Amino acid sequence: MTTPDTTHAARTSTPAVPMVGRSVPADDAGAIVSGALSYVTDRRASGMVWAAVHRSVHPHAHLRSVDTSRAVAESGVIAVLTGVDVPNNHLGSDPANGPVLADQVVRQVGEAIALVAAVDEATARRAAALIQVEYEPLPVVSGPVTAPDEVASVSLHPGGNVAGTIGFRSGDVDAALGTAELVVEMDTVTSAQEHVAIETPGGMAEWDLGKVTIWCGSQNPGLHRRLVAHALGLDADDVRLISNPVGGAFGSRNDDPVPVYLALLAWHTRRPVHLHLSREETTVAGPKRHPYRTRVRIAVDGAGMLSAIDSRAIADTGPYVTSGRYVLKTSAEMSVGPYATPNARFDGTVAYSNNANAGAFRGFGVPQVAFGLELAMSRAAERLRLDPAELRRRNLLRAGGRHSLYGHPVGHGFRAVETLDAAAEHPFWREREAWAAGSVGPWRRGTGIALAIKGVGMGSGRGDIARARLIVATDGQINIWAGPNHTGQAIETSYRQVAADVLGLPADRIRVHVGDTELVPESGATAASRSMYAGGAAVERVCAQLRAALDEAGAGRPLQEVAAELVAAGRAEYEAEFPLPDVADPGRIPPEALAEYAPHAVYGCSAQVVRLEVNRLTGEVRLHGVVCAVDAGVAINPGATIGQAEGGVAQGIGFALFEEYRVHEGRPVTTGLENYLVPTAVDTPPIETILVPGYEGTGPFGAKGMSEVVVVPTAPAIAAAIGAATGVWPQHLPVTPERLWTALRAADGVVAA
Amino acid sequence: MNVNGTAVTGYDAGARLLDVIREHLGLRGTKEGCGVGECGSCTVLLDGEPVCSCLVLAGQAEGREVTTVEGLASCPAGARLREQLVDHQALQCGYCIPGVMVSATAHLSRTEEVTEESVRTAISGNLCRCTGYTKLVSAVLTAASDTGAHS
Amino acid sequence: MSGRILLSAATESAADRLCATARPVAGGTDLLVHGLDAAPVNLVDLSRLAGRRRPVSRLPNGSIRVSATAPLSVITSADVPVPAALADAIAEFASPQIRNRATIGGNIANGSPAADLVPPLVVCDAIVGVRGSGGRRDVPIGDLLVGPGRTTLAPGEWIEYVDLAPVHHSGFRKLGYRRALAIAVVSLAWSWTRPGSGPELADVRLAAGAVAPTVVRCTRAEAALRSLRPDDVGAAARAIQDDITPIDDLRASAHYRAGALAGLVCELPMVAAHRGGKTERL
Repeated sequence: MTTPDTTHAARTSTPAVPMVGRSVPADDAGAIVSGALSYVTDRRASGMVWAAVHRSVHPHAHLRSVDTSRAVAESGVIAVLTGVDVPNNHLGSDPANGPVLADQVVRQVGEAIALVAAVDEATARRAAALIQVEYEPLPVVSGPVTAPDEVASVSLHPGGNVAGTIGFRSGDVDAALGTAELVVEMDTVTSAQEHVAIETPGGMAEWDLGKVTIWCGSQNPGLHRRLVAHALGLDADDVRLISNPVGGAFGSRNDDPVPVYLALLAWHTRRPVHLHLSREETTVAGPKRHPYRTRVRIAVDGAGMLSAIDSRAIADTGPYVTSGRYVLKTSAEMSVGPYATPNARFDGTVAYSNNANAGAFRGFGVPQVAFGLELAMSRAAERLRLDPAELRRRNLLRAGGRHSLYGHPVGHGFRAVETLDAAAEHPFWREREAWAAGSVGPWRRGTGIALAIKGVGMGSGRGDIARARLIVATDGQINIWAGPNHTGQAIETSYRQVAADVLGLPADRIRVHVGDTELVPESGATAASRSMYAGGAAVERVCAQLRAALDEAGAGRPLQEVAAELVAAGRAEYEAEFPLPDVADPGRIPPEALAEYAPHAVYGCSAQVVRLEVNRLTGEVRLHGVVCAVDAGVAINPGATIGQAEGGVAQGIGFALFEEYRVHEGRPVTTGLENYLVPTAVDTPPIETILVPGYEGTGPFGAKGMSEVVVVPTAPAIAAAIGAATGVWPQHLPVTPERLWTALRAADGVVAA
Repeated sequence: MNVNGTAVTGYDAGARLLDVIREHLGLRGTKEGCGVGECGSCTVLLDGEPVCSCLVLAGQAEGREVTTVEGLASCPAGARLREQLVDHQALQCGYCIPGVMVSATAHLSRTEEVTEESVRTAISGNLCRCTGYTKLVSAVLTAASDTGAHS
Repeated sequence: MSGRILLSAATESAADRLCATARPVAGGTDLLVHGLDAAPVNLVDLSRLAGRRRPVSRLPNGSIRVSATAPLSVITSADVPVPAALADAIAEFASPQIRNRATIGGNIANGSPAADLVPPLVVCDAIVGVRGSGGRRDVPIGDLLVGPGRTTLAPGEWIEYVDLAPVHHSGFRKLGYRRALAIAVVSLAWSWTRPGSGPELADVRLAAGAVAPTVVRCTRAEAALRSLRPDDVGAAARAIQDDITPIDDLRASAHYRAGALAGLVCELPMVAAHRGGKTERL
C-alpha cells in the first residue's frame, strides 16, 4: 500500500504528460486475467435459492390454463410465480412492450410464462419443466420481411401489426430518378442478429427492509430500475440495481426483463435469488437486431454526382415493440449516409410478428439501411468506371454542411472526407489490382470499400442528459460517480483520464464508480455511442467545478490541506450534468416535431477496406484483412478505442457472412452456438485501425462516440469486395456459401445464355 | 483430482467438471457460456491440455491434474500472458478471457514456434465477442517472444 | 448429486465386461451436448485405456493401427504418422479443446452422416476393431454405417481401434460455414496412387460426408477419375451426383450440397498440386 502523496500541489496545470490520449489498460484488467473478477452471475449468498423460467413452446397461442401444481409439489421448490403474482404485469407503461409473464396470450416461442425458485438449479429447472400449459394455437404472423402480404391478416395487438412508421422527403426524388443518367437499385435483406454476449443474462437479487437490490448486467440501470418499480408497484427509490461487471452487452442489456424476474422472485421468496439463463434460452428469447428488407435507389449523373437517394425499409420487431420505433428513426436519419444530395426520401415501417423480439443492437438500425446504400454506391462507381472511393468523395457532406434529408447542419466536427481518405490511402485499397491479379484456381480475389456515419446520443429534442457527482475527501481522495455504465469499454478508466486532466492531478487520486442506481446519478443508457461523449463531458464539468474551488483556494498549496478546508466548509460535493446538444437549427423538420425525427448534432464516421477471396466453386469467402478508419474526434484512451473498433468490425463480419437467427413459421431454427455461428479467431482476419485526427468541439477534450459506426461499413465493404472478385453483388445477408454459390451459378447462367 | 495443485475430494463423479470447479470448489474464474463446448469459456487444463470442462464428467478427471485460470500464475507462460493481455488492452468485458488465458498458456507452454496462425488456431475454440481477436493475438505473440518462442 | 455412476475401465477386458450393462463414454464431447440430464445414468469411462499410450502403430501387414479411444490430438502427435486424409480431418475437427477429448471411436459410433473422421477412414479401407462382452470382431467401416445416428454396433460393443490400409496420396476437404467449430455441410476424402509421373491415377477412393444418410463411398466418381486432367475431373464431378442422395436441412439445401461437392471434386487437381510433401508422408 502506498502512502498518499500529501505534498502534491492542489493547483497544477494539466499534468506534463496528459492522461487524455494515453492508452491505459482498464481498471479491472488485472482481475480479469487472473480470474478474480466476480461477475453478477458469479455472486452467491447464504440461503440463496435458484431460479428457472418456464417458456412458451408456441409462437402464438391463447393460454387456456397454466397448471403449476406439479411444480409446486416438487420437493425443494420454494415458489412458482405466474402472471397473477406480478402486481403490475407490464414491462413498462406501453402495453406493446409486453407483459412480465404472459398470462393470456403468448406471441413468441420462448416467451416467459412462469418463474420457479428452488433449493438448487437442477430442482428449479426440473420443476419449471413440470408446469403444464394448455395452449390454443393461433395463426402465426411470419413477419414483414418474409411474408409482407400477411402483415394485415392477423393482428397481434389492437390496432394491427404496424408498430410504427416514419416518412420524410426533401426535393423531388421521383423527378431526379426519372431524369438521371444512371439509377442503381439494391433490394437488400438483412437478418436477425443475436448479440451473443458471452455471459448469458442473469444475476442475483435480495429483498431487505422493504427494498430490493438487484445485481444484474444492464446498459440502462435507470430504465431497469423503473421497469422493476413499475412491475412490482414499488417506489423507484426502493429498487437498487447494481449492474456491474457485465459480460458483454452490445444492446442486449438495454431493456431485457431479467432484472424484473430477479426482483419479483426475491420479493416473493424474501430470500436471495440467483438466475442465470442458458445459452438456448438467451438465443431463443433474447432480443435481436431487427431484420430489414430495404430497397435503395440512387440517381447519379455522368460526372458521378448524386441527384437522389430513395429508401424504403420495413423492419420486423417481433411480438412487442421496445426500441423498434427508435431503431427505425435512426434508419431514416442515416439512410442518406454521409452524402450530399438535393433529393432524398425515406419511407419506413416497423411491424409486429411472431418471430424473435427485436431490440437494440450496436448500430441501431444503421447497418440495415447503410448496406444497400453503400452497395449501390460501389455498384454505381463500377458502372461509371470510377474509383469507388472517388465517387464517394465527390458526393460527401463536408463539416458544417446540411443533412440531405432533414436539412440540419451536421456540425463542425464532421470528418467524412478525412475518414474516407485515410482508408483509401491504405495499401489495401491502392494495391487492389495487384491483389486481384494474384487469384489462384477457384479462389478469386477482391477488395471493397464502404463508408458510414452514426449519430452520437439519442438525438435532438429527446432531453438526453448525462450526469456526474464528485466528492473530495479530507485526504484529497476524489470519488466520482458517473454514468453511463461500463459494459466492457473501460469507461471508468477513460472517465478517470478526463478527470485527471481537468483537475491536474494524478489519475490514481481519482476513483470512478459506475453502474449503481443508488449512487450514480441518472445518466441514461450505455447506448447510442454516447457513454464516452456524454458521460465524459459530465465528468469534465463536475471536475471543472472542483478545479475552480481548488484554484480559488490558492496555488501551490498541498491538496490534502485544501481538501480538508473544502470538506470543513461543506464544499466537498459537486454535481454536474451534460445535456447533449440539439441541432443548431432543425432544417426542414418542423420545430415542434424535432423529437419525432431526433436528428443529431454530432456524428461519428468510419470507412473500411476489406480484402478477401471467394471460391467460385463453393461460394466460400475467406477474409484476408480489414482496415478500419474511424473518426472518434480525440480518442481519450486510444488503445480502448482501437479495441472497440476491432470488436465492432468482427460483429460486422458476423452480420455480413455468418450470423442469422432463423425462425420458420414462428419456430426457432437456430437455437444455440452450434447452429447460430459467430466468427472465431480463424474466421476473423487481422484488423488494422486508423484513428482519424479530429476534434469534436462539444465533447470532452474533443472526443465523440464511435463504437457503433464501426459495425456499419464492414458488410457493404465485404459485399463490394465480393462484387469486385466475382461480378456478383450479394444483397442478402449473411452471404452464406450457399447464397453466394446460388448467385454465382445464376450469373454464370446469364453469361452462358 | 488435483485442482491447481491441491487435492480435491468429496465431489460428485457424475457431475460436470465445470460444476465441481464452480460450485463445489467455488473457483468462479472458470465461466459457462454455452454448456455444449461451442464457446470455450469453461476451458481448463486437464493434465496440461485445454478441454471444455462442460463436456468432462468429474469422474473422468479423477487422479488427474486440473488447472483453472486461477492456477495459471504459477506457470511462466501464464504469468507473461496476464501481463501482456493487460498491457495490450486485449480484453474488454473479460468474460471469455479465463478460457482464452488457459488455451493460450497451453499453447505457449508446448509450442516451439509460435506464429500468428498457430495462435489463432490455439484460441479458435474460444469465442470472444468484444475484441475481434486482433489484440488478443498480438498479446499472445508478444508473450511468446518474451521467451523466444515467437518466430 | 447427479445420481450418475461412472465406472472406470482400467483394462480392455474390464471395459468389455462393464459395457454389458452401461454405456461407454470416451471423450464425452457428444454425450454431454444434450445436457447432463439427457446423459445415461450408467457410464463406462474408456478414457483411461491403453490406447492413449500407444495411439498409432504399424502392423506387420503394413497397415496403420489407430486407437479409437485416444484423443484426436494424441493421434496426430504420435511418432507414427497417420494418412494425410485423417490428419487433415483431425486438424479441422471442431476446436483444440474438443480435439483433446474427442475420439475416432466416438465419431464412428455417433453415426453422423457429417462425421469428419469417417470419410478418411473409408478411403483408407478402414477395418474397425469392435469388441464387447460378446467377443471381438473386425468390421469394414462401410458395414458399420446404417443411417443418421445408427450403426451396426450391438449394445455393449465398443470400438477399440481402426486399421488403415497404407495409402500413398490422400486428403480431406471440409466445407463448413466456419473454419473452426463447424459441422460439415459437405466433405470429401480421397486416396489414390499414381502409377506414373503424369496425371494418371489408380486405386482411387472417394468418400463424401453430409450428402447421404451415411458417409458414402463414391464409386461412380472413382471410376470416372482416371486422371487429374480436366475432362476426367469434370466427368467425376458429374458422376458423383449418382453416388449421393443429399437432403435439405438446417444447414443447406440438397441442391447446394450436390453442387458444392462437385466443386470439391473440381478442386482436386489444385489441392493435390498444392499439397506437396504432405500427401507423400506415407
